[in-house]
Amino acid sequence: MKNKDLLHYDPISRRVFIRSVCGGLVAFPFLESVLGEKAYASAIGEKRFIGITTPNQLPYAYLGPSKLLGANIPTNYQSVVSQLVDPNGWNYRRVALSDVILREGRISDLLDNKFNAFSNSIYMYRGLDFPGRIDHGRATSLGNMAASHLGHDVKAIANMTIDEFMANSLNFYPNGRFSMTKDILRLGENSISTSNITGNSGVGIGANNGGLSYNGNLSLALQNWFSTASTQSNSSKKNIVDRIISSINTLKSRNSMGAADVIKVEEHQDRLSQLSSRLASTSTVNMSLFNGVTMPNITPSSLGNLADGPTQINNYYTNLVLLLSLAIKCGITKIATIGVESSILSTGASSAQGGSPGSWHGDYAHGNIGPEILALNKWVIDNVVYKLALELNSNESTGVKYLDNTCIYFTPENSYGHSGEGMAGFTIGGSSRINSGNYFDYGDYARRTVKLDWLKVTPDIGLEHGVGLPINRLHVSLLRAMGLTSQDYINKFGNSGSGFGFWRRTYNDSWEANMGSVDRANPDLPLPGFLKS
Amino acid sequence: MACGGGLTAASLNEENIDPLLQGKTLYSNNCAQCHGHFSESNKKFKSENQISAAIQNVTQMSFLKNLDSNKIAMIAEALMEGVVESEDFTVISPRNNASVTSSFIINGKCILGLQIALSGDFGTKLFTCNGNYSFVVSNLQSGIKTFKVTQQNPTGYIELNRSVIYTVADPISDSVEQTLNNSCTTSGEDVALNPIKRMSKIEYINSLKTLFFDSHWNLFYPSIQSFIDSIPNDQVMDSITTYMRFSKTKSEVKFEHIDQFHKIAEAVSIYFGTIGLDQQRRIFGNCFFYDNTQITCAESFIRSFGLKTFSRPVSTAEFNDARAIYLAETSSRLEGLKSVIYYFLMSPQFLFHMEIESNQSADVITLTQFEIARKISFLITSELPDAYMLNLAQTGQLLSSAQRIAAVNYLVTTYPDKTKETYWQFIKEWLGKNRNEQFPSSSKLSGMVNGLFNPSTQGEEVREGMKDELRKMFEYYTFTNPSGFSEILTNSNSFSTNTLVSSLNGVAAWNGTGAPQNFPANQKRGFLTSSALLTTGGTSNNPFHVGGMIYKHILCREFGNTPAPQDLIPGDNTGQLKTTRDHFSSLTPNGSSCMNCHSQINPLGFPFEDYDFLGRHRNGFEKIYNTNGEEINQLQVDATSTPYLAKRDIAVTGALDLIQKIDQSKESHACFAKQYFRFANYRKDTPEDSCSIKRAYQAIKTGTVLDMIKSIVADDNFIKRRINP
Repeated sequence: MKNKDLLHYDPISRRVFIRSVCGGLVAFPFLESVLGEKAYASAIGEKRFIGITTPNQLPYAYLGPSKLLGANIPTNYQSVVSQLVDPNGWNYRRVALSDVILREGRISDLLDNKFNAFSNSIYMYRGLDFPGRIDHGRATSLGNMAASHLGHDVKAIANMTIDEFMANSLNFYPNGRFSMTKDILRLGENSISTSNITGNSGVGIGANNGGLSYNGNLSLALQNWFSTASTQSNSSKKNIVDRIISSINTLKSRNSMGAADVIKVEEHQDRLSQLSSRLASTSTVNMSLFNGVTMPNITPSSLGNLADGPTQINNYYTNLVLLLSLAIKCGITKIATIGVESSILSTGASSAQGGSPGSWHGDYAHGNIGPEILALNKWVIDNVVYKLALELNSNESTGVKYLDNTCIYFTPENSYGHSGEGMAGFTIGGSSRINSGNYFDYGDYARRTVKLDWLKVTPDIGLEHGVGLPINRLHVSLLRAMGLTSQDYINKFGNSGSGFGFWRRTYNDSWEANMGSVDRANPDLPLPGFLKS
Repeated sequence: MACGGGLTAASLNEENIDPLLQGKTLYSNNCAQCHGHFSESNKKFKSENQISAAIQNVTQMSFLKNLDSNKIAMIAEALMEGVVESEDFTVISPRNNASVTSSFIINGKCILGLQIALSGDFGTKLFTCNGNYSFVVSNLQSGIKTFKVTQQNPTGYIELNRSVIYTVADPISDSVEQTLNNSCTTSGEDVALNPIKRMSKIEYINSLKTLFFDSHWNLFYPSIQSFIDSIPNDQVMDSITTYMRFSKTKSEVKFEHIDQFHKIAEAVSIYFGTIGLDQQRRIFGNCFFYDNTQITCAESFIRSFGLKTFSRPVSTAEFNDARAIYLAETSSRLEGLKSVIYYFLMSPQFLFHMEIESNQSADVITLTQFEIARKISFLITSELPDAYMLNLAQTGQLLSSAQRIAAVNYLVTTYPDKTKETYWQFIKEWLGKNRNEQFPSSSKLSGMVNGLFNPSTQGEEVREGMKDELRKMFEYYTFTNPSGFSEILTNSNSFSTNTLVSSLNGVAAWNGTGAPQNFPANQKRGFLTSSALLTTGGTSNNPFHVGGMIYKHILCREFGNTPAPQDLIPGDNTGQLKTTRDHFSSLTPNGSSCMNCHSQINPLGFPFEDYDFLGRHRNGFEKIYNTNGEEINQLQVDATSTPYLAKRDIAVTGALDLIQKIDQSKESHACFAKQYFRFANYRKDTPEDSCSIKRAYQAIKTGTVLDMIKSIVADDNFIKRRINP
């Protein structure tokens, strides 16, 4: 990093702090005696989900292996690319990431060789379509399809996003929702998720739709999770809480406590145990940890070197990664979404647009594949995704790595330009359930190749891609990987009726016609090859 | 054989004795392969002639041509087994003095000379075969009638074991009474499962106020406001496929609850460490002021504060816990007392309605006097029992029904504001007015309100004014001028004190005291026509919404496991030359699956076509707007409908007619009693509650809303709960 004043605080000491607090916390206070029997059971084999997204386009040519574009497979790949057909007759391809690394030395332009060590934990895809989506809608990356404000009729098919379905599922939170101020931590500069945008336009650029937890204030988040306003010591409070926990056992033994009554007071008991656990850790937390860390407020003139990210951004996201690691390791939450938003990717000025600072968004996020947008996405992948993976690449008390039970999902908002065709993304972690270590191209070149014709890339690079599978199936896949069943996300919480997982689209174009007899999407149909068998 | 028949059981050839069994055997051997097992035969009730004809004409049955006529007759007889073929008993005049007519034949034939007896509470009547047995029973009074058909043979009557129960119902007035449990005699026949519940958020907040006096509350509230806001709201569950659950039936304990309870308990205890000694004395007791070093002072506080928070004297174990907590804080006595406050505020005995102190080993336990005091207090005022109520419990004055009714009277009289607030909580959740619909600030709406108000700047005032009108109507007929549910349903009064809202009713604003304003003649009646219930926040009235609300909330009907509605956003009819009714009708076409539910919803909603999207009476014509909100036409309103009420389809001419018939049917009264029962007991009713609900219904049918509330409290069911072992 160029910025020497990147952190006012020593990041190494902070990592040490997290390990000492939460490593100890996981290994120690999660013991049955402290956490409660049921909560302890759920702490083993946790499933966690972190969604990270960037706005606007990220051309798939740069996210996935660059040599595997188009219908033709290079000679040196022909022996390792598997041409597959799913039961519905859909053609797709798979190649092991290790084979890509063997040939290229890295996975892709944006996942450079530092990711090689994680290759067995990465599931990468390309060739998912949301045709007709040519505008903004960050929540769509989490499954909440919004109607286009550009006139294309893509109605919402669920009024909750997949992270919200997880938060409400007993298959994800077996003991009921474990929530702090928010059921889902929404971090970054903008929430990528939102509760209900049914019938509305997608999340606009720079909009804070859905609300950031603690308004993006890391220090406030830390205070709320760990601090106590008391002048008394937390150990004193913990003793009181533990005494109440113990007294509940006496209550449970009373003759007039029925089975349902016992369950109810045990619920209370479990929550008190969680509080006790937090109080135990609080005394060791330096509550000034994130003082001075503020959410970036970048003006066009302060963008500086886009590729490296301005100091504010670097400082903020470095700390955000630490905070989220802390939250995961301390069991504060199991679901988080991070929207890396406008400051570096949307509202900046572009010198290319002549005159006064113009619309960087207009210059680079529509059709022009400038180096800036690649550099900025790479910055996010390197400094948010990768660092988060590093932080979670340590052992839980069970001996399993946090990362193995945590699915970090990265997705851009759009593919080329503002197109929803040929979407690409990847997951790191969650390898106990996800068929990671592979790159899948779901574009069916045999069915049709599509030449980009919307918001045409400048310059026209002549790319063609196979018509893809509906992106809904990725959402279904992620839900399944997190242990949800279709019953968890159909007609359960929404009032829009159709429930999540169906594909309903009324804007008719050639994309639809090329699906042929393929089962487009349904709530029980993950992507082929996604889940470990 | 001793009885000389010459036949042993083993040698008994039943086929020779029982023609019916023989017929079944013949069927099994000859027919079952094609027509299914006898019990599931698709040829039930075929006559001898029909079978014979089939054998002659159906190629596949030609192998049966050797079957003689006796055997065919036996097969036919078997296929007619036990069948009383009859037309349904039909009610030709379904009201008191009704007549029932029916005709039927037995086993496919009349047996000449054989008589049929029809018996019921009208006595027994005999009928002789005359081609069939036909009869008319006249002058039936409403009630459940059982017709028992018996067949006379030369040796007497043989009961055919056929009973037909027919409800002869007055279509309007008696539909509820007859469906209620008629076996109810005295209070408390059965008790439903009723697990303990957490305090609702509202109850928690109110209880904190009670504990620390309103004066302190106002001072420390700013320090806990953000924590209170972060306590998860107890949502009303109200989807179309489930029964409506009041917010306080929610009982899950999320970490967010505990986290905020913890922060509030800390903040409260900190607050009482910062106030002056005089104030502290008020909280901690006199001894703290004079000698706060004595353990007896702390013990006194533990007992008094424990009594308030747990709504009963603390047990020895609880006392010892609190005492140990006090002593563990060695920095100062004040810190010790603060810890004691924290302990009580975090204990489940405070945060839950525990109801376990009787410690009885039984499936059904009776609440202790203290638990009864707490339950009544939370029902009427949504907060902890005060000293008077605790004293009633202490002195055993809550055991009898009369004593509990006296306690209700005390609370209603002593805490009128809290009582009304709690009652409004019930009303607004019941009627779905706990949500805040927003008027869209579109220019379209501005045109449609015709300058009455500015939606963007006065929308909230109008919305709140509408709710206030609803609230005042219920309060007036419940507390100010105690009346029955019929008055709330059918009154002709406008209760709005807001000028904008009252203008929607076409009257001047009420001054809030004395006699309310009268609606213009034949325009509005009762709460169902209030703007609060007819406004959706959009630019169209919504007959689906109103019909569904009446179906579910007013009549307590349920769809059960009905598929959720399709993703349908009705929109409005602006820009179309058709009425709202026509627009909504087109969304649920006849024959579509939508009509599985909407055939019941729409007829209850369409009568309210008499009103527009603000609850204004249309005077027979609906204004049609273009998409800019400009009036372009007027079309005649069709508010006629044929909803299902009192167990039959009844034609109504419009909303006022429908309301009158709903009132006459008493279904709404029974539903109101049932909804309040759910509210009072923190749960859905079960069959075990039928008698309690019946008594509550009868109380409001003939008395007032307060009578109904007291009926529920007076009921033995109120002070008992079943626990699952």
